[in-house]
Formats: sequence, structure tokens, C-alpha cells
Amino acid sequence: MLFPTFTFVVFFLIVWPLNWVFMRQPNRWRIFMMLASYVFYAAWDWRFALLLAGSTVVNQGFAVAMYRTKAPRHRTALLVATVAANLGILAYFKYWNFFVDSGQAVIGNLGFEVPSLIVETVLPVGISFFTFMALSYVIDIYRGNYQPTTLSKFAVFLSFFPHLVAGPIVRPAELVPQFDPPPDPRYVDTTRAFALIAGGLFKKVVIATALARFVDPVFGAPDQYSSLVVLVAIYAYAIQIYADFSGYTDMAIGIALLLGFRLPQNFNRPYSASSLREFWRRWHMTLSRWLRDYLYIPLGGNRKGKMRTYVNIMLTMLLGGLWHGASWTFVVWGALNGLGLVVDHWWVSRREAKGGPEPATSGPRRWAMIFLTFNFVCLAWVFFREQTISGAFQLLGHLFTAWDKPSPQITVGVLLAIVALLVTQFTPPRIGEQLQGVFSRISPIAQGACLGVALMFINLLGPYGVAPFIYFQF
Amino acid sequence: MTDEPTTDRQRDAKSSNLPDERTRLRPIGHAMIAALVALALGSVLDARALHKSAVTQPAGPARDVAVAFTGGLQAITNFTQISQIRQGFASVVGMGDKDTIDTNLNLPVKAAAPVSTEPAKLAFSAKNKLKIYMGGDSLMETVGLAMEQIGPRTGVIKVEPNDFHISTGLNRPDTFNWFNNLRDVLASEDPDVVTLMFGDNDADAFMSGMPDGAPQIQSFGDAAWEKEYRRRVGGMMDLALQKPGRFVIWMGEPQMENSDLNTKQIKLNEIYKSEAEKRPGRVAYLDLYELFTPGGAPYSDTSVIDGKSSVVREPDGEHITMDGGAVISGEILKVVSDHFTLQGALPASLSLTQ
Repeated sequence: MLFPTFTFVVFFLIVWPLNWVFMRQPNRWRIFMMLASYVFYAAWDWRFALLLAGSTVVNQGFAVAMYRTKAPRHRTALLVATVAANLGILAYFKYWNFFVDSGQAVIGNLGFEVPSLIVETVLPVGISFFTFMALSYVIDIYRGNYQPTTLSKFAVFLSFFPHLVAGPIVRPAELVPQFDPPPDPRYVDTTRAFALIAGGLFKKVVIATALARFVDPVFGAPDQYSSLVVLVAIYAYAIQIYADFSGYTDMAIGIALLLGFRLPQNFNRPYSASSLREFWRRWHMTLSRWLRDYLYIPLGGNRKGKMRTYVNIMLTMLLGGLWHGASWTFVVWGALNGLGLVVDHWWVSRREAKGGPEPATSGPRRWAMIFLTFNFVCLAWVFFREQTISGAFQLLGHLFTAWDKPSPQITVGVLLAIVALLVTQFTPPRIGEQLQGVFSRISPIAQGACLGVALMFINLLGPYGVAPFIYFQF
Repeated sequence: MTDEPTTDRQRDAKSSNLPDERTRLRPIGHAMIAALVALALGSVLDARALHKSAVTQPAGPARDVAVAFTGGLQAITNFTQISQIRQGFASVVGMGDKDTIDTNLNLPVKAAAPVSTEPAKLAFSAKNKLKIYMGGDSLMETVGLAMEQIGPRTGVIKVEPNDFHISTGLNRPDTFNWFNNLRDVLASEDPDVVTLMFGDNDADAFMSGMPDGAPQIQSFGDAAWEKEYRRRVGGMMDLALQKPGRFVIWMGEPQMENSDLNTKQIKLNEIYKSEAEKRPGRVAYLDLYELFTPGGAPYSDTSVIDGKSSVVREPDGEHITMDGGAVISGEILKVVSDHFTLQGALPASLSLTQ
């Protein structure tokens, strides 16, 4: 059930008022919200709902057992078992065929024949997201940062439909306390909710879909196009993936707000970053902080010397790359970002050691850094988008070989979509806040009229039908 | 990775006179009124688009209800001229015909010229490349992608960008008008070879764009259905063959894992094959059913071709893998090299990783 569909509108128009009706009876509300979320998830495949239910029960069981166990060794053993169970399920569905295929290729190259161990599985939608949320729950309890909540609250936390399939990756301390006491229906940030939903719809339906139609054929057969078209397609993909993913999470955050709950911000104008470190603080923020808190810092973070810091960064980014998908292209994408972050850290520490000036916060030098960062990120996206590493190199190689070909595919619409999204990256947030302030003061009917006209424009400028969200495959 | 995320909103809130977030909090009832007004107004303004979306749904009771409701809504907005608001903006942005449902097939009245009027084998070289167009439903996706990689290795073949359209076929020009699309492609790209594949979405009795006075279709495969479907298949072939020398490769889709769907696929393939045979020397029928499951073998996702076993089908039991697409690309190249004189060698390998 995709957000920008008629089916979801009907689903939400039923769930939304009932959510507020049940809100004053927390026990009933939890059962209702859990059922609604499972209906939402089972719309893809009812077997997925069984997997989610299994994950909920197993993680809650381990979490409670760990909390009640006093002996540190036993607690650690329980944690290891929980992490192994979660990662085992993820590995089976997502990585089994990748590792088997890669292993068989190596063994085959050595001249040995092995029977095929490939299994036919369908990747459950959102498994990477809810597995990471479950892991943060049990790890926080192990660390003593959080106490187990009730099974019903944990079940709602994990299955809450706005974030279920593509994040944001929420932590228990961010959402569970909002269940009790329940949100007050008299004070809801409806303006921000509408702004996020309308903006997210526009990004997904208009920008991402329009750019996908330009990008897909070029990445499919770069030889057919001029170097200029390939170059513009690389930039267009950077905008497409941002519009697609941030559009989805904006809608998710907006829908949660209409239900009375606040989810964490997931994107903060990432292409305005003037360094790769800053980019990763602005892009998929909830994944970045998950990797930082549950992988990078446990590995030692920056506490064990420079070399170890660099190794930790590389490991974190490699695994972050692999989180996105079972393919060597994601590993290369993670490695490129890891390498970029290592260089960034090395550069900063070198400057600090020499007592050099602080990085410029404005002026040509800052713009040059933004330009460099954006282009490095775009280069890495090529490996993220391509099916094979050789395909990525083929596409990049084509940047240098066909400048004499015509470029009729670059239309005003494509350039407008790229420029429009880039402009939003440098628009001060206060402008949006002030517009929301004005919107919040007009009557509900006038608000509805504005939104109705916005819907017409989104529907008009977008295509018929909705393309799948890129991050659903992760 | 070690720093806290930048929160510009917090920073901006501190440094400016931003309105306090709490001042814009409103009762949820206000939001519900706003949402209902937005949906109602949006539905009225978008009535034509909603009706088009309803019409292009799969046949069934849900479609019937949606068509009736949106049809009424559209009639009201047409009568009150409200529909002109969207139409006006659409015209301004060059999308004036976006909401039009065009089910006109515009099939050629005159059939393709017989083979006897054709010149001898046409020759193509590196300087004068043979242009191949690949079009069809979602099964064409991987075939077209593989062909885009493999075809150019001959040095004499140019493969046009893959023109597959998911969930389309010849039954439903209201959903996607393949007849108009092919006509446009032929005019703009002028390919030498037109490769087509349909069927998966045509295994249904419902057809839009029926000619006036055509007998009512009662079920898939009945006489009325077959007469009209044959007209469309033959029409697509003739559309491509209006230009002398152009060659059509029509691919019959492979065996389907679902037995009901497969029974219908066999019927569809019979029509494709017999229509191709009516145009000897100008249309070749490529039998993917026989290629992947030779001699009536049961459905399998793997296939042994030239002694090599490959996974050629996706787990859904319908679609074709990239490896399957590569195998089919090899077969297409064989057909093309039989029909034309190509001054270049067929690729030694169908590997997609080169």
C-alpha cells in the first residue's frame, strides 16, 4: 500500500478518525493501531505480517529476559543471541543468495564444482528498517539506557505504519513515551503535517517520477547517449533519489503528525553540505546516527587513535553500504563514502594540528566545498544506481567519449526539476516556517481549498500511476 | 560520524523571530475539515483525471463502480465548466491531452506488401548500422536491457532504447495505446527491425477500443475475442511493415508457471504464430515457449541452452531474468543475421558482464 494511492487514502480516512476515537482508551488504541499497521503491511503479502509478528515476539522475549538477568555474562549471551537472530533473518532474506553466489564464483574459478545453494525468496518490504529498530530496542536495554516496555507498546512501536516500510528509523525512547499519556487532540501541528505531506507528494510524484523517466534509459544504455546527457543523468539521479526517499519520509512524518505522533527528522537539505561529514549528518539522518551509535562507537569510534578511527569509519560505511542491498555495487558505494570520510577526517585533523583557519561558513571557498562535496556524492551514486561495477565504469567512461553527439533528451522539464530541488537546498528554513505560520492562521476551509488546488497541480504535473519507491527494496 | 546532527531549525529559531511552533497547533478536527475540503475540491478539479484512472483499471466490479462514480463527477464538472480550470493549466504547461482516453487503434487499411516485391537481402555495416526497436510489456524489460548490451557488440547493430511498458498489452488501448505508440516510434526512430512481445496482460476477455458493431465478447478465446485480437496483432505487424524492407520479429511469450495463465498464453501464442505466417519473409515468429521448455517440458525457472544451464525466469513464474534476456538476445541476433546481410560477426559471448 503506497502512500500516494487511492487505496491508502481510503485506508487513512478510516484509520485517522478511529485513531483519535480510541486514543483515550490506551489499551484499545494499541490493539487498534497494531491491527491497522498489520493490515497496511499485509497488503503487500500476508506472510510478511507473520514475519513482523515473529520478530516482535522474539525481540520482546529476549529484551525482557535480558532485563531480568543480573549476571553480565548471561546478559551478554542473550544480547548476542538476539543480535544473531535478527541479523540471521535479515541475512537469510537479503544476503544469502549474494554470499552463496559470490562464494560459488570464487570456488568455480578455482576449478571446483559445487551444487547451487541459491534459494528463491521474496525480500519482505521494510525488513532492514524494522530489524534495525528492533536491534536498537534490545541494545538500549542491554546498555541500561532503556527499560523493556509492554509487548503491546513494543508491537505498536515496531509496526507503526507511517515508518514501517522505509523509515525514519525510530528509537524506542522517541516514540514509546508518546503513547502514554496519549497526544492531546486539541494541540496538533497540523500545518507542519500538511506541509510535509504536500511537499513529499510533490517531490515523489512530480520530481522523482519525471527524473526517473530521463535517468532510467540513460543508465540502462549509456552508449546510446551523448556525454552531456550522461552527465546530466548522473546529476538527475542524485536529485531523483533525494526527492524519492525524502519525499516518502516527509509523508511518513506528516501522516504520523496527523495521528498525533512526532517522528525524527530524516533529511536536512543534504546537498547544501560543504563536506562529506556534513552530508552524512544531513542525509538519512536516522540511519547515520544508528550506524554511529550501534556500530561506529562500539568499534571504538575515535577513541583509539587516528588509524583505528579510519578503520572504524571504513567498516561502518562498508556495512552501511551493504545494508542498502546485497550487491558489490553497494559495497563500492560504501567504500567510496568511507574513503571520502577518512580523507575528510584526516584533512580536518591536519588543519587543527597546524592551527589552520576554521572552514569558511560563507564566500567562494564554502561554495567550492559544496560543489566538490556534491560532485563526489554524485560520483558515488553512480555505483549505487548501476547493477554491476563494470556497468558503473562503463557509464563513467562514456562521460569522456561522446561529446560530439546531440543531446535532445535534456529538456527544460528535466533541468527545471534538477534546479528546483537544488534551490530548496539553499532556501533558509525560516521561509518555510513563516509560510506555515501564515497557513496555520487561516480557516480550515481555506486551508482545504489551498491543499485542494495543490493536489490538482501535483496530479496534473505527475504521471498516471506511481512508480515504486527506491528505498522499498532496502 | 561522531558529531550530533545539525538542526538548522533549532539554530534558526534561536537566531530569528520565528513564530513559536506552539502557536500554530490546532485541534485535530480542523485538520479533518481541511483534509475533507482538500479531497473534495481536488476530486472536482481532477475529475477528468480520476475518470481516466478509473477507466484504465483492470476489468471487474471495482472498475465498474469507479467508472460510474467518476463518470458522474466528470459530467457535472464538464457541465459547470469546472473541468476547464485543470484543462487550462494543462494546456499552459503543454499537457493539454493528458486526460484524453484515446482508444482509437487507427490500424492500416492496406495490409503489408507481399515478400515478392521485396528487394534482395539488405546489407548493413559499421557505417550503415541496422536499427533494432524493442517494444512490449514488462517481460520485454530484461530482454531489451540485455539486447542493449549485446547487440552493439556486433559493430553493425544499433539497439534503440528499450520501450517496455509495464502492465500493458493490445487489449487495453485506454491503459496504453500501443498502436499510437508504435506509429510514433516508427515515425521518429525509423527502425529496420521491429521486435515485439505481448501476451501476459492480454490473457483477459475485456477489450477497450472495440470497433462499432463488433460482436460482444463473452469470454477469453471465444470467436468474437479471437477475431478482434487477430485484427490487432495483424494490424501491429502491418503498421510496422508499411515501409518496404522493414522486418518484424514477434516473440511468443514463454511458458507460465500458473497453469490457467499458461493455457491462455498458448492460445495467444497460436495467434501470434499464425499471423506471422500470413506475412512470410517479413515477419518471423520467435518461439520463446519452445526455447525455454523444449518438447513440451514442464515449467522450470532454469533452462539448458547450448549445453549451459541458466536461471532464465524470475521467481514470480512469469518474468524473464537478465540471463534469460541474454539468451533471447542471442536468438534475435540469429534471426536478424539470417534475414539481413550483416558485415560483422555475431558476438561470441552473451555474457552481460563484459
